[in-house]
Amino acid sequence: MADNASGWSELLSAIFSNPEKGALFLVLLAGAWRWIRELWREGKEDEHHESLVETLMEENRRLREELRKEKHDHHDE
Amino acid sequence: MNLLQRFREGTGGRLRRILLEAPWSNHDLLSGLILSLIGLLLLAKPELYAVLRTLNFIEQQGHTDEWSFLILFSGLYGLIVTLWCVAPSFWIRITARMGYALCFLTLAFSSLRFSTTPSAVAFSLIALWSIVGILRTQASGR
Repeated sequence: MADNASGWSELLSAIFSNPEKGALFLVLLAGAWRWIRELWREGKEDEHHESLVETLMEENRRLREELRKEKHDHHDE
Repeated sequence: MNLLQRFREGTGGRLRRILLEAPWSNHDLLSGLILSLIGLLLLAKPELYAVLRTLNFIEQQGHTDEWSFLILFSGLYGLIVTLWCVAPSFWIRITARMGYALCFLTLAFSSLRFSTTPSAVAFSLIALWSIVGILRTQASGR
């Protein structure tokens, strides 16, 4: 427990003795995290978009098939 | 309804909406103004690096002009991004907020070295908000 506390105090004193380095580290960490999350979200949205287009095309194909069949039946009558 | 649920629907919910949904431009505008003015002040009066003990570490490193320009540039860059009439791209907005956060965190850490003074508290809170600003930047929206 005492080792843990001294570790934290050493870390804090290192940050406070080099404020610009600690600040740069935190800013880069936050920026990179946000950037990666945004890229991941964009990738996911593209995936959803692709699957939506595929579903719509499939639905369109099915409806056209049904319409063709209906027309054919109507023509037979 | 228990206390936690009441908090979530009341003040907690309001706080969540402010932090996540409220326009962030107000904070960006204020941060830009503060940093631009601090940068200008430090350029006009470089002796402040020796007088103010929170800025002593910069004077010891001997990069006073560089830091003055960095603070001024971060403030002006953020102000231009905030006041631009159309939403700039994601990387421009996030770098502006990263610039704010870098300056405020440096000032906060250097102030916190000398126990908790009012300026240390103010810089720490603004720095914390700047980090939240980076984390809530989205490709869609401002």
